Parts: sequence; structure tokens; C-alpha cells
Amino acid sequence: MDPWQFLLVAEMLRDSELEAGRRSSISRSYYAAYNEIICCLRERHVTVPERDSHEKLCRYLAATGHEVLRAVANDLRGLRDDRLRADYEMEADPTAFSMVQVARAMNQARRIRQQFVSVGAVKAAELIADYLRRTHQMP
Amino acid sequence: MGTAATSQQVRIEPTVDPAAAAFADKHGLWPDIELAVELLHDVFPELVAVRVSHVIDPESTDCEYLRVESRVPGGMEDMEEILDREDAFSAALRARMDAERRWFFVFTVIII
Repeated sequence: MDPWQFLLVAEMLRDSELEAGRRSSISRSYYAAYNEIICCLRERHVTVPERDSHEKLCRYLAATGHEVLRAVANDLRGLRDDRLRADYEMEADPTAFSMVQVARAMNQARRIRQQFVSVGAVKAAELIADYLRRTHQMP
Repeated sequence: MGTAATSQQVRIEPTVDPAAAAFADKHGLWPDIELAVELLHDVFPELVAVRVSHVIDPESTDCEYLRVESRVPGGMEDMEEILDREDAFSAALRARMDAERRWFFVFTVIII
């Protein structure tokens, strides 16, 4: 499946009158961006271990030292925090799930993808593989 | 903690949850919080509140951090510009705070 389909689902839920719908939209936005990057890397034989994979992906992107990938890591981590609040924090202030915030999450996902594409999956995979070899996490 | 007026703009003092304060004490993060709030004021002079809370990642085995949430007035039409300013804030933070310290924080903006 094309992971970017998650953003279409996010779009379908963005104007939901139910808070649960708007929370789910934020969650789908994150997974669109996360899976887009994970799939691109996997196609180039760079895999992120399943355990703590979300945190590790951000760490790997940041560790490349590439300015744009560091920004991707930062934005992805921020969007993930929005998702954790949407998925787990039932007592959170509903303002965090307003239609504007939902649109912000979708735009954040688009920006993450654009930034990643601007570097190129091949280059990103090479830089992460270099980091993993240097730190003996990959043969 | 409320606000304190200066000659230039109203400085918003962050509201720090007790668990976040304990985490900041443990890791010596108060100067970093101070720096972040200063930079947030530079980028979002219209900012109305900053809240710092402690997050234990429910999906990771060993990950906790401080969520610094800024409340900024605006509407749908301001969203792109606010995202650009968030990028500017992140760049300014990268220039002033080392990577390991930054990893203790996640910054987010709530448009109100």
C-alpha cells in the first residue's frame, strides 16, 4: 500500500465534528510521513529496528548531520508528539485538536515529505547506512 | 506563573508542570528552558502562553522528554506562516543549543 494514502484518510477526517475524528486525522498525518520515510529507506536496504522504531528513525535522521534531514527529524518528532497526545491523552485540552491544528498536522506531514524528497531517498539511505556502520549497528 | 511587563513586549513566563519541573531539575534543563522561551518570544512576539509538561513516551522503552507548548493567536489563513516561523525557531534553537540538550525537548504550537 502507498503510505501516502494515510494522508487521504487524514483529509477525510479533518473537518469531523467528532473530536475523535480530528484526533485520528492527526494520527494518520503522522503515519503518512513516518511510513513514507520508512518505506523509502527499506527499499534501499536500510531498516529501522521494530523496537522503539519511531524514536530511532528520528535519531538516525538527526545523526546523519545533514541539515535538511536534521530538520526532517525535528519535524517528524514534533508531529509524533502531536500524535501521542491525540492517541493517548484523553484529558488533553480540545484546542489541540481543532480544525486548524488538524490542518497544521497535515501540512507538517507534507513538509516532512517534501524535505525528505528534496534530499533524495538514495542520499538519505546512504547517510543513515554510514551512520549505522560507524556505530556498528549495521555490517 | 503569569506575565511580567517589559518596555518592549509582555514577557510570558512558562507554566511548568510539577513533573516537568522535577525532570528539569534532574537534568539541569532550566537554562535551556529559559533560552527556548527567549527564542520563542523572538519568533512569536504575539505568543500568549507557554506550557511545559513532562511526557513519558507510551510506545518506547526508555524515552521521556519535555513538551514545550506555545499558544499563538491565528486562524487557518496564518497556518503556513506559523509553520515557517516554527522552522525559524528550530533553526535558531539548533544554533544555540547542542543536539543532546535539544533531545530533551519537543516544541509544539497550538494556534488559538
